[in-house]
Amino acid sequence: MTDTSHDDRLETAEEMATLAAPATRAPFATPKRLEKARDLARALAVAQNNAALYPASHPLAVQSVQDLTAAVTAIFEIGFEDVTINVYKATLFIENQVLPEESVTYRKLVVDLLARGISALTFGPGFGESDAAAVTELLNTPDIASIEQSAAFLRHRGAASVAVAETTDLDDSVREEEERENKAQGRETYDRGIELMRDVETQAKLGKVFEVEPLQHMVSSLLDTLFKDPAAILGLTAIKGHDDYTLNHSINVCILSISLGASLGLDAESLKSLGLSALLYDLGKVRIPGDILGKEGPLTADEWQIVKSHTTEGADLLKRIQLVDQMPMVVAYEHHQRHDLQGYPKAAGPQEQHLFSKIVALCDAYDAMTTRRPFRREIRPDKALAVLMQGRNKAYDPSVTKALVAMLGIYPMGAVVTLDDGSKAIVFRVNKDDLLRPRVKRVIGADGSWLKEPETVDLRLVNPETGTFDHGIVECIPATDAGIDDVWQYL
Amino acid sequence: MERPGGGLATEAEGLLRTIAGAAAAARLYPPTSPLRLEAVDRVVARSAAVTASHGTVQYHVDRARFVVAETTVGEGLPQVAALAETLHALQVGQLIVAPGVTDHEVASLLEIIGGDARAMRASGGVRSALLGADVRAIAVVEVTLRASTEAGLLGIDLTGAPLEEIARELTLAAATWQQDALAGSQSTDIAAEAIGRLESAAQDLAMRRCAEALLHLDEATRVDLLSNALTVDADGRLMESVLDIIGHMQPAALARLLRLTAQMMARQPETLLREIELPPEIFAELATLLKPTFREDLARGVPPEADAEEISREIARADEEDLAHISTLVTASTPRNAAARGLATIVSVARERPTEDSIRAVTDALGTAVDVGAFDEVSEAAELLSELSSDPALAPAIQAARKVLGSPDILRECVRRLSEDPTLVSARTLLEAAGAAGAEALVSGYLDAPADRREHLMPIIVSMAEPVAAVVGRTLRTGDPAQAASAIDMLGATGARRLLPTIAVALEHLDSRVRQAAIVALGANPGPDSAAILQKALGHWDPETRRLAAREIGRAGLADAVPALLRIIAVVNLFERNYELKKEVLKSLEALDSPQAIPVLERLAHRPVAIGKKNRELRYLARRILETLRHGDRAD
Repeated sequence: MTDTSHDDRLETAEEMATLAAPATRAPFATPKRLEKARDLARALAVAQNNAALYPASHPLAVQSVQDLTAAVTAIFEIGFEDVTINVYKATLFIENQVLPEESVTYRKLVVDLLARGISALTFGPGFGESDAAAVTELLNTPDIASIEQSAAFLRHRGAASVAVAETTDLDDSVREEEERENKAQGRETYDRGIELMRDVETQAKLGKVFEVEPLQHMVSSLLDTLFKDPAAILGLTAIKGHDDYTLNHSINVCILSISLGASLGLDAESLKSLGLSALLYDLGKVRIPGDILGKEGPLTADEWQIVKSHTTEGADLLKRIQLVDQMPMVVAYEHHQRHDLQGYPKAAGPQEQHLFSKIVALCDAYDAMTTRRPFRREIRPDKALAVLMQGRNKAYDPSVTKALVAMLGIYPMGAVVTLDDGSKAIVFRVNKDDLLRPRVKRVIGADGSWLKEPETVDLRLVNPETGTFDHGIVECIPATDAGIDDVWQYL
Repeated sequence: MERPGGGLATEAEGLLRTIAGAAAAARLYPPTSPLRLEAVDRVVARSAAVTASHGTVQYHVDRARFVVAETTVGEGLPQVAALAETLHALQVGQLIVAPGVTDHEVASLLEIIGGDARAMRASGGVRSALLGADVRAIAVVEVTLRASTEAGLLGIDLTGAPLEEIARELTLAAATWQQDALAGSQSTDIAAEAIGRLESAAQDLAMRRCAEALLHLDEATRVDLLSNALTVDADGRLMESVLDIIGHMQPAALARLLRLTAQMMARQPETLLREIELPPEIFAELATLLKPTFREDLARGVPPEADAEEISREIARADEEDLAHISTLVTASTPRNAAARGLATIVSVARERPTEDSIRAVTDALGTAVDVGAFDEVSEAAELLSELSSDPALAPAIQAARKVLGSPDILRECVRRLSEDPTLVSARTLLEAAGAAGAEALVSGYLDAPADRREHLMPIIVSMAEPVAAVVGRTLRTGDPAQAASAIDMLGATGARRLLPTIAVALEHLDSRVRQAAIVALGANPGPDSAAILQKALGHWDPETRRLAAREIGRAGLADAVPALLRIIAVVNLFERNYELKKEVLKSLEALDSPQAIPVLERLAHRPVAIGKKNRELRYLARRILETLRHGDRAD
């Protein structure tokens, strides 16, 4: 790993991990694993301290170098090929795991790393005691003040398994430019998708066969962007069309589904099939009279039966369409069957819903709840997730539900939150290691005035003086209650 | 509020290029030239498209470029730079293009900016020239070094002044309105006057900027401003300009403002909403936004508060069990599963809607399902076809589906799967349902299967004995002898008595291998029926078959056949060369160990004359066997 290559990874890789992997797959997801990360931070800080106090041959110094080596080895043993200690805005991370307490406790370590221009310290394969000794020496050599000097020092000491890197403004600007491009590309695909789905609906209403190929291209395009920049794609679900709910909803469900599918580890072909299924799962509604679908009051028993028939209607519509596979039809049929099979249509046997149906059912429910309709208000995202969590084991598969929440975060992208200083902010990136502390863009001040430029705040960051978090979320509020119409523009 | 980096800048630049192109055409061609008219048309069309998407477009003019929504446009484009220079020379600070631009307006603009800059400035400037030409949808804001002589809102340019300044002046204007109104005098709507002084093209833009400026105020001031504007003056009027301005706010921001203001004024937000003139769709959206929600959420099962900490802990508790469950689900979502689910779903749909189209869909799905070994689902489909077979309207579709079900490929696959897994009930059902075709596939699959898998197929061969026998019968008549022999081996291996007649037929086959196989098969299935057939075979036209029959009778221990064996050795025919047969009979008699044979053997053993070595060998054999039998008697 070269010095510069790592700079770019600092946030990008973190975001990738944040959005493309479920919490259960986060490197330090379990308490046991997290303890290993903490051990490493502790070992490094202790080794640095002992090297400052004692000569290298002193038993305590020797022991602490051995402990550091053992801590790194312990992390390799849980599947890491290398492990990186990051310092970002004076906060200590191991990989993408924030260590708030250690950021304060080992303040000297953070300060000494930054003083040497180091934002990332990577221990690679073959890390041994000589490498550990070189790192502690580096941290105790006062005249090293730049990343170049740090790298040269390690080279000179033959520490081949240690790499240092820094984050530069240039990297940030390049990354931001890429993000802007990805966002624009994602939006273009989204808008094209709306038009395509409009055509599909029209054709289906007329009883004509529609072309699937453009939809497949659209899904592929979304997947391309998803793999490049998950946030650019997931952020699109914050677009809530109020005029043509069905079209926006189908694209949003498609995006949520493929994102969740990717985080569950589905391969590209399966994701394409899932994406197409998620676009077409509700197509049967074109055969349900609009006045019943849009009825504001409660439905009569007969009307409810008609609404319920949309699943069979959808499968009936899709059964002879030339698709890559028949999953769109299956999902159209199964998406209301529920995890406990108490839904509709009545399941023929004890076979549980297909994974795709489970995913689409969850994403459908989430997007529907968080979208305003003419006859009801939207539910704020954290409450919507709470509803989904309540429905675990009943309507929804418990593990898949947890994976969805882990992917979206407790405060998903686009959620509007009130911070503890009274200001209002929009969640624009979820932090995988701390779902309660996302990165936000503050848009409205505590006095209710709109800021000229949104201000980015990472809620994980710790105040070095007090050792507490700089800011926290007091509550999540519906975007419209805060007076914000289009949150997508801030993502 | 425009999206940063969104489509506005690109489209606005496109419009500028069209205007710049038209300006160049205006310089080059006379007013009546078709090229010039076309260029004007292009500007009209382009401006209509851009304003339809983004509303009024406001360009800030720099020396060699334009700025739109803080994004530089036209930089590096010579024609656009020339247009910027021209406007700059004419002291134009802003160019505003509103919806509804006409040919006349574009032509006038081109005419005006194409003239001499100095003369234009001297004659009152571009703005007055445009107003003079009755241009309404295009406006300019001129740059002037003169300070405004008026104070407050009237003294600032609403299209270009900093938003904070506008917000401050609007607040003061509204406060003044309220003071006058409360004093019982006629209030003056200064904001209305300031906006009214602008060309119509700039009025909408000015109101949008005023609306945006309001957002930069703190919320309390914003609410005060609106409540002041809602104070009725001596003439019973409200400060309409503020209501027009807030009508330009985004719906959510406006809804919040109305809610807070209503709260302060102890009124219902809906009553405030009615004071504002809004397009019907915005009005409806605002009405939805202003609806109370708390009870509605509860009714929908939404908790009053979400316990974020608890959810976070739940997620953190996602354990190996969750991972394993997800991994199982992912592994199960294979193409095989998709095809199987596909067919199962189509079958369910067809059950609910038994139409021709549904049956055709079932037919389409069958092939893939079989390819991936989804036999349970295929079997379910076969059952559906049987259920629906009484419906004459569906008959052709069902026939087609059955044809697919009976296709050799599918049946062959069924046999292959069964040979691997004899418990696969669905594949068995399919073969049985296919009848003769199933038997055909079964026989051929059996013959092709490795020896260790053949026995897996035995149960189904037995259960399909009749069609299988028919297939073997046909093979005997028309097939390759080696194949026929193997088929007879197969029948023998089943141990099914029902198949003995077919085996018996094989005894008449011209090829000795087939006959031999039949004899062996009969011997392998001892019983009265096979004994009778073997006895009959003792009189077969082929000596070798007779000999083999004799041997199998002994080997199978068919005691009922002893008399028939004895008849063979009892007859002495000097011309019959059947020593080998008799030798075999003697061996079988020895094996059968029947005392019934003793008298005949005695006669043979004590025959005084035995001509030839073979006859002597027979006599010797008879004596030895007799000895054995007698010894056996004594032993008994």
